[in-house]
Amino acid sequence: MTLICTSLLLLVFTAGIAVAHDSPEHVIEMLTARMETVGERSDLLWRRATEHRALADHAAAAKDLKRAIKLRRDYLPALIDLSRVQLLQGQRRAALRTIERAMSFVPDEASRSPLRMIKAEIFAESGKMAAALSECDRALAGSGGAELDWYLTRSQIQCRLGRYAEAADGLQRGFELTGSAVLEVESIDARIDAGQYEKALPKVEAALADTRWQSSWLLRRARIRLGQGQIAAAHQDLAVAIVEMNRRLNPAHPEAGLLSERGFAYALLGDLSLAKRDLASARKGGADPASLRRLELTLLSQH
Amino acid sequence: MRNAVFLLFAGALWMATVACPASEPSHGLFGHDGRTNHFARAPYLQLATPNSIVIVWRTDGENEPVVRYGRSVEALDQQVSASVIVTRVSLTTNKAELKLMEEKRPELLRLPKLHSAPMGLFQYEARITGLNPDTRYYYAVYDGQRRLTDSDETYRFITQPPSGAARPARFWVVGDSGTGREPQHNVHTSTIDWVKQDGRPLDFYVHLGDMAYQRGRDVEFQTRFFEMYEPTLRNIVCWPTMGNHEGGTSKGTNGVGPYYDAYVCPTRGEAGGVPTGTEAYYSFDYGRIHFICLDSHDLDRKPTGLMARWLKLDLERSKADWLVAFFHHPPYTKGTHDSDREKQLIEMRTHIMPILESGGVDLVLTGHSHIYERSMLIDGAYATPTVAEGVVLDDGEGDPRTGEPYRKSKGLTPNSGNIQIVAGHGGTTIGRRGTIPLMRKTIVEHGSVIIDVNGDTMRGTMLNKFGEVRDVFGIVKRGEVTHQRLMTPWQPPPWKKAKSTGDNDVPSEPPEDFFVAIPKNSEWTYLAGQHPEGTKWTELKFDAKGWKKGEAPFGYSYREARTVLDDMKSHYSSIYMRHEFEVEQADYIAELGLMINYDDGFVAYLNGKEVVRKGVGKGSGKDAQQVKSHDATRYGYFSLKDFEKHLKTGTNVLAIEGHNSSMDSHDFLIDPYLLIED
Repeated sequence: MTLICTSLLLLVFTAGIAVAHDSPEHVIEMLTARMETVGERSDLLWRRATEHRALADHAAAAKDLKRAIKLRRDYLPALIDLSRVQLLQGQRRAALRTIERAMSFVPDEASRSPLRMIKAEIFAESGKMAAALSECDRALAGSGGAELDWYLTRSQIQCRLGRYAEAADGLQRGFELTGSAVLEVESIDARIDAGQYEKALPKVEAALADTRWQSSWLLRRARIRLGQGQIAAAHQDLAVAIVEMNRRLNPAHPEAGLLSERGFAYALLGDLSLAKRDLASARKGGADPASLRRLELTLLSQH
Repeated sequence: MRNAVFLLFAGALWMATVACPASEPSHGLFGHDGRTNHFARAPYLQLATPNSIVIVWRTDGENEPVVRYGRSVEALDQQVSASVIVTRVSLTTNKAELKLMEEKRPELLRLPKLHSAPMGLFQYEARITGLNPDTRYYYAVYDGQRRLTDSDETYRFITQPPSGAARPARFWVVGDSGTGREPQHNVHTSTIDWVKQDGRPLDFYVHLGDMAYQRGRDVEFQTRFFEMYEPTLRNIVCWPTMGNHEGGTSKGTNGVGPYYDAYVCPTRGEAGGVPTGTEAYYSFDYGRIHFICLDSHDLDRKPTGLMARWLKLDLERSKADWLVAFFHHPPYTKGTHDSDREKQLIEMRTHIMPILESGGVDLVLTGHSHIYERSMLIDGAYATPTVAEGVVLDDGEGDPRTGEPYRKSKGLTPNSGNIQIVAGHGGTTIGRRGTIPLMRKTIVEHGSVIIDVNGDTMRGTMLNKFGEVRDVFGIVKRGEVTHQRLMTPWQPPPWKKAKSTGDNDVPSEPPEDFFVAIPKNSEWTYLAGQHPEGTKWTELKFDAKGWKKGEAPFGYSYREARTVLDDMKSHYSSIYMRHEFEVEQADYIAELGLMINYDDGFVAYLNGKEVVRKGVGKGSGKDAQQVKSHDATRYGYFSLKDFEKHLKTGTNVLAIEGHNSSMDSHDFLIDPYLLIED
């Protein structure tokens, strides 16, 4: 009886018992030892792959994920993660094959939406923008539109296709649905890109009246003013923006995003050498290529 | 009869609601028969603003929810009633029951659903608006006219001060606490005692994630967070960030899961800051402090990601004097995690810290790594591995008690230095793997941190689980301060892992946190006076028919022996014992160890495999040889070798053979119990 009670008590107490020393290395070690005893299992392999990914060891992660899928061909967590890992490894065709295989195991369209977004990323990385956009549209339609990131991904693809107005409208709808300030600001940027200055300007002015750091908004207003032919006013905004950005930029360790914005300001002022210098520094500082797109386009147009 | 049917009905409490005649009040099933005079989750506070607050609670079965509130305990003269209270529900998944519900109570199907709470639970979220800022209110929760909360003054809250108004603040910072066990409990109670003695109550609470081990399941939230902190949560708000363990069941990408059921966080800038459109990350103001919460676990951490873009917008707009950021994964740590190796930690350092520092952040609070680490005043430390040269602005102790707090310019100044605190020591097993060269203090003890902000002065106090002050640091922001980057800053002494003695007979330290798998003085099945055949007796499937039962300790000539082996001396020198135990998820066990007081030697087996041998030179059973003399003076802890390979989900068996050095030995003792570490 004592034995039964003890057992029951322990059963309760050990429910979901934790791996407290949960560093990736420790978990990998434990899972490896576990599989030496119980044999390889798709769930354990997937868990170990997750830890390899935490250590950015994509090759080891891919190996485990492939073995997990070999053991259980419809194991979705492994299929989805393998596709992501393959994309990170630059294996786009393989990533596409994997995600399509995953989709074949998912019957309903709503559940397919996250997979479609991965597919869209793969297409975008491969330069197939129209196909990427189509997947985004289907994903957003299938999901009911609650995923904030997806609006951003779709708008980036639309902008790369030059469909700025469409991007702005989609972002605005996303903002209205979710309230995300980022989507609203992105829609303002897309409107400026689309030449819809009258729609964008009131929002830019309102933000300028309410922000501590103003450089990004001054930059937006300068773009509008340049578009409207108000060159002097635009240059004044850009000069003020650069002064503020210089205050914020850490000379020893400059923030790459801010560097690319300053480079953009220089480019709009026509100071191409300083713009190129900031672009190079931003790249060196690890700036995401997507954040440099406007600066690069401006430099190209003024070359 | 209806009640009887109800109680039998597949655990679906709502079902009785469906079964009630439509003419009965909606709360009829549980409302007034005395069976819901307690909460499934006691009331707690969320999303405080200067003019509003949210009170959340759960009941088994449906209530008619009402919150009454007012300026004194005796005069709760205002109320929020059901029509404006958000109700979430956990319904059955049984198709037949759902069909019946569709016919009888279709409105229940339209309610927002709880992710994975036990069936029949109703969660109520009452938003009280129109409150005065910085004002104390008392409240009570009702089911219709029936009061559910006790009539006492502990159900109270103070609204946030007006945004931008100068007001002293004190908040409590806890990370990685959600085990539901003693260290967590001690950290909580000792902090509450310390705060009481100090005479300055807490204004709010910041949790740095991992509040519900192992997977952030609804039941884990209940027992390891809400029940643990209940007295505190009823009168101050906990502002949370999601940890990786909550990430086992909740997703930041879509805001679904028990974590998101538990908390009501700002999405539209309700508490100050820029609207996020998601509860996964957010900001709020408390007087002249701006707080930023990020999801470092499962969202894109890149500068082009949505979260980083929002962060930039939020920093642009904040006009506070102080900027405090909190998230789960630390940019700098060598506790149980390594920020030089792990992706999430590296990305928070290289992608997010530059944005925070260019916005003027003063304090960054993180968890994940089960340790207390507190940095010097630093800026620009983005390299991997982390180095101190050129990124430390002040390498002093930062201790205000000696008149040497860190100093910064007034207001928010970009890149003017911040303090990093890793506070993942709130309750789970603590540890260390090295030294981050930026850290001024590294303490491997359970504890938490109290932060006080008063005007231009911030003070942090690290309390251990006994309520002892283990570190104090401060920042004073006054005038214009210019720092030089230190090229050869003070460096913490190198840390070396304690060396193993290499002596197999010397026990190690038991784990600090553990479950008892086989308790002391348990009843074991044992065989004395004869030897079993071979080693089959150590296996789970062995039928111990004919073996006796007795409580440990086993032995003679030791007063503590409960099963006294009177006939052992001169007749036999070995006994054999077995005890079964259950493990729900073998994959998750971190360590299994034997606590044992013994005289003279023993060999232990887990599911038929030898895992510990002490004092027995070679052989086993009747062939055991070279048994060394050893007195049972105290318990020793021995980790079970390669337990991962042998432990199974479900029933396991620990078998021990105890040996005396000789048949004529004047004493013998075997007193084991088994520990599981998480």
